[in-house]
Amino acid sequence: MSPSSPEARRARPLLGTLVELRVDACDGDIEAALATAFAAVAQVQALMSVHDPASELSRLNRLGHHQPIRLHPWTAEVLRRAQALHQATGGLFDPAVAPVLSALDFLPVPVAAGATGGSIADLVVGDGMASSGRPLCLDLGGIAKGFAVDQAVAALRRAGARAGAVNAGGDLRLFGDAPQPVVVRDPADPGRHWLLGEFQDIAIATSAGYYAARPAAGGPVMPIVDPRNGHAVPVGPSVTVLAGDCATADALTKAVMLDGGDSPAWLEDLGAQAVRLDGQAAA
Amino acid sequence: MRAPLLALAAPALVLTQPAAATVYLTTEQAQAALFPGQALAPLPVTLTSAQADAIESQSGVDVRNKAVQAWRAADGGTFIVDEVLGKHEYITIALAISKVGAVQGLEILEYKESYGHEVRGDDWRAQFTGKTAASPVKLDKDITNISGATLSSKHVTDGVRRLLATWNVALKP
Repeated sequence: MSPSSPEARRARPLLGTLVELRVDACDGDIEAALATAFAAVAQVQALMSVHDPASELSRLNRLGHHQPIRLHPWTAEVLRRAQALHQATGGLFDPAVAPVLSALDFLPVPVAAGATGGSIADLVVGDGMASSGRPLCLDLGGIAKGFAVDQAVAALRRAGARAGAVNAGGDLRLFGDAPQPVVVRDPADPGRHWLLGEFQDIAIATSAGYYAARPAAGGPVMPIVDPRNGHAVPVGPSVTVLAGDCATADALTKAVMLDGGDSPAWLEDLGAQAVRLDGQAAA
Repeated sequence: MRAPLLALAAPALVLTQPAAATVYLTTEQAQAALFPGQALAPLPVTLTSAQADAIESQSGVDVRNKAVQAWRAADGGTFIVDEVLGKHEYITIALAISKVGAVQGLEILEYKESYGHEVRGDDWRAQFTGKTAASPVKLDKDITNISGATLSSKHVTDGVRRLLATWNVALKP
């Protein structure tokens, strides 16, 4: 590698988790690169957080069935991609399960009357606008985090970064020429790690219950809801998805978890692979 | 799109160093980043019990440590270094507060995870010996890319709320 700025690693609390940026090689001002990437993540949060009543998503949830809502191109893009992934996975990925997440206390958001049972397919996304024919409550938490990682990587690259990684609470994307090792937490003992391999230019996201479980009648459940029956998934194995971009990887962890099989046909169509870890009982 | 993504390794169990910590910034680097070009003067404060009570009631967060590591910038801003503790994580943060009490910046200085492995002893660790040896990467160094479900930043946001109350009660210029 040619001489360049020294490696830099920064973390900030964003998207409800810790977002870490790492730059291994940069042709431009490394501080400026980091600043623009954090700004991109913060913008995704401001636009698409369901926790923020002032976000575009919250406005869409409140008013989208009364009038078309004007949207930033990023919000419209995430909604369109969520619809495409909903269709590609036979409905398994669906951000419209937010009413169930709210009822289980995973999401502290008010749910409009009649929003339960809706689907992201009910949304009409136009050019910078969206509306729906019925009340909907969407939570983009299962895809926007990955999208934010993708935007952070794009911002780092535009600012001259040639290699590095962005990791938003375990949803990560690597860029640059050199392969990097990636490990996955053991779902039975998240302080232990399984080596997945060495990768470059790839996005890897994981869903599991170790940090996100809530008690429920039949035992602890994860914030992943099956749109077919409205039930949350019991804590168990973790699912890791490897894909070309992090929005896809993030969304597909939920769909693979719900599919139950290790390699549903649509996974390959989307250029992705999945790894399920059952977790070892700690000795 | 059909990306020829990868060759997955047979997953091998590896262990991180029990007390591995990621250092993002030193205190001095964070001072330079958050108050560029300004001299910072140490402003050591030990909270009284009454102050700690006031901070807890204003922020809703427990005060565990009455010693406050603070500095004052030439422009009246305040720089505080503090530790927040989660169930498994230990995070050092640096907060910059303006002269009028607004958050100007927040940086994470250090992140450490602990799951109690260090108390399990060598027997527990010995069973994994050899499993890491076959792996193609050096695992004695810091592991940088961990994929895993979201670790909440709630403790960090609680810590910021507590430090803003600390400023209000004990550090206002």
